[in-house]
Amino acid sequence: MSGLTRRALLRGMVATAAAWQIPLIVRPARAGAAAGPGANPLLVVVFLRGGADGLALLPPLGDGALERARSALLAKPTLELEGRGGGFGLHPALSPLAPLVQDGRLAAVHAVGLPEPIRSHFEAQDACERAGARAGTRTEGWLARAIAAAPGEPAAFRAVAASTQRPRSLAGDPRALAFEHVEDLVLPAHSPAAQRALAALHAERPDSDPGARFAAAGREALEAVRALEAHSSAPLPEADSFPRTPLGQRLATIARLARADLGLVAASVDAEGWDTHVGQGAEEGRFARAAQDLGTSLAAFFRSLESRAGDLLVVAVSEFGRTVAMNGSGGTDHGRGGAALLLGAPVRGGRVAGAWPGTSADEREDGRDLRVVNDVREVLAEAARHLGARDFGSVFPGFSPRGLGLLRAPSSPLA
Amino acid sequence: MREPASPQAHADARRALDRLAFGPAPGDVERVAEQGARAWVAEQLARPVPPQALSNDLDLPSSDRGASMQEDPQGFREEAREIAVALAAHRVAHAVDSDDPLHETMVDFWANHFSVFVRKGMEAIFLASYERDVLRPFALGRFGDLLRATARHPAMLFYLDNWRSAAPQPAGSAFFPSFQGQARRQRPEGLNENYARELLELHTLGVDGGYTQQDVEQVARVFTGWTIDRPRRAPAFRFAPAWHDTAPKVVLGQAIAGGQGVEEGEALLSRLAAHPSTATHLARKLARRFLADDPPRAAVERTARRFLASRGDVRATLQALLLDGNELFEGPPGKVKSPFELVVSALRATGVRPQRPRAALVALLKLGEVPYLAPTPAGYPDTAERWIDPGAALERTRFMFALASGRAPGLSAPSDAALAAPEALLAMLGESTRRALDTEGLLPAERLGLALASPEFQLR
Repeated sequence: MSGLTRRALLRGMVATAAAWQIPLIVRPARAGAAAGPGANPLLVVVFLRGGADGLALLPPLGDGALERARSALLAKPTLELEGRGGGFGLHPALSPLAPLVQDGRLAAVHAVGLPEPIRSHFEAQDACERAGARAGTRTEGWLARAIAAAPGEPAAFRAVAASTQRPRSLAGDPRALAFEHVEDLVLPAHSPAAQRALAALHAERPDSDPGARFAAAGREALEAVRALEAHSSAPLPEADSFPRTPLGQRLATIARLARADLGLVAASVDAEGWDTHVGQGAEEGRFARAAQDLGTSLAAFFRSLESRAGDLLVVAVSEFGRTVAMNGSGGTDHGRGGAALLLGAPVRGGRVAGAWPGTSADEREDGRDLRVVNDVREVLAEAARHLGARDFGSVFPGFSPRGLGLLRAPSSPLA
Repeated sequence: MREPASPQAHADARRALDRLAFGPAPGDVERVAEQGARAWVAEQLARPVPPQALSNDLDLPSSDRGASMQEDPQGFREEAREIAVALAAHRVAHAVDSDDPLHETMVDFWANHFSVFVRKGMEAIFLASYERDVLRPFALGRFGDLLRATARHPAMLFYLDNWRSAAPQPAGSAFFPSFQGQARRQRPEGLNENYARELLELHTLGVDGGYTQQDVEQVARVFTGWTIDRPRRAPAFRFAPAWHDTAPKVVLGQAIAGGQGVEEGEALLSRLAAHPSTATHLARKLARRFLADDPPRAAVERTARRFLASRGDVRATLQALLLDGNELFEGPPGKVKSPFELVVSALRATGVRPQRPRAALVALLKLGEVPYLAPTPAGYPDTAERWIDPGAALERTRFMFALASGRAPGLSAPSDAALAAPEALLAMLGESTRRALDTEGLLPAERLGLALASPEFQLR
């Protein structure tokens, strides 16, 4: 089912709730936002699920070894970033991001990944999203820990995931909301008795009660609906200019929330379609389609949030990169080093930061993959810094970020 | 006259039905309590595979429709959507009304274990056969047979790309342009290790099962040439000898002499099916499904031992898990229902039935679990942590209120019995839920909605 069909299917259902639908409203951004970049930081983490091919997203220019290994997968870049050697090009499908590149608001980190050689999707995604915390601990998600370490008050919409399931990066933040459409955030019942009963149903329970977890989630949900209700001037703006793809619609949801004064600080958004084992292509093909979706969706997102440009940092990461050489079916298999993107006014852009290991056969990890020479936690640390997190020890246990220096000025609520 | 069954017998019956049968339908608890919950579980394990579970009632285009994908992409997309709708409706209908609920539970389990994605390319056209010929017949059979059936089925060969994997050719040989063009018959240029990796990581040994990147590549070589014959017209398994890597291989420290063709893969599948890591991996997943997110070690170990001793007999393995200990019946209900389990259990409890195929899909889409729509080969999660958050709580509550009020699109109205006594649908009734249901001024439909949306009903 496409997101579009899904929406069409759901229209009937939403309509049944329409009688009780609470008007969705926007207010001009907080007065503080005018005070300058980073006054009300907003972080959006886009997770490229499936292992995005960093060498297709951001190929090193004039790299003979890469051309020999995968000539059929190399598209001609139209945008360039400075970096080691001859610099790097952006895949042409990302050209909707040209304004950001030209303004120096896009930077990248290459050969980035996990220190451990993990090539399993779910294990590598878990490891990225835990970022050093042990599995199963209460605050396993790095984004949950970064938000906890940042200044600011808890609010219903402080952390949001535009998905049906909460991502692991937000595990440990019991208030983090996961939902796909703002229209979903309405109560199922409007009678005063039913409202009272719902509050009773989700009242706090002792930890020993097996229903305690669900009740807590229910309380947070009721509070989120009330927070939306409390805004009563104008409906949230529709987001027409976004692509009708799952990613585009998820970013539209985040944009709508960010334009209202709901206290949104951090959002997590998934982008699918990057597991290009077959038919990856160059200018066209599976990879180009995923990149095109990413480029147009992000461009729409930045246009939609122009009023908050100074606040906004978008970070795009993936669980791993892919093999340097093309495989037997015009694609690439799971590899190691990938590429991460940082976008927004707070970024010191125009360049690829960090070390670069090269792509020739003897420089590869296990003889096949781009070596990981930049820890993905360095990228996440820039994101945490943007939120104003100070105690990095609690955010990245057992890891001290050296700092990539990719943000213009340290973000601070006092700035 | 017989003695009425004791409260403990009722509790055990309720638990068995919640864990093995997507929850009770009216009268089930009393019936199973009278029989004895353990005896009922044993009976479920002993039942032969029901003919109706194998029946060809999934009447879907499955053979020659791939051709239309190239000629009429838009038409194909619509067709693929219809197939997804039909598959979801079929699965829900069977789960809600089957006489063999454990069989249906295991179909759900294996569909997740051997997960495929209906939206990938032409995958949809393979799925009616995948469910009918692979998942259903072997759900309670031998794991090795099931594994082999998945490995050879076009649904898996296509989803994990093995159908386009061939022995690497020496440099300078003919260039293979792109599989998306008209070059379908052309030989792939080399390995694709997607299936090999997921076979080891997800289907058999488990991610900690003791294999290396080297093993993944070697396994990929073993399966070169396992491809799909006439994928767009009459899809079937085919071994293409010319694509097979004839060199000797080493997998998990064991040498495989080269040049044995399709036998190499067959032997490797048998070896993997009988591997101790596979036993532990499956025992842990089964125990997580039937007992707890973090299941007792003793139960996992005894289940793994029986898996090995029985040579992968799923019934014997489940017997060890469910009946050789008492964990199934101990403690409060600690498993959060997945969306599929939740929807099916609500339909069973209230007598509500889908009135058109799309109804099931609408509900499951909103709640986040549709058959064959898991975005990764790992399938859907099976722990509370991944299913419960504020957005999910709201979505579940909204669905239950719509269902209770008879306003959920495409679903019939709930039974009078359910509306009259919603608390009877709950295995237990906590103080908060009791207070919520006692709120003055509630309509019967609101009381039913509250009961179904209660934390208690989310658990099994």
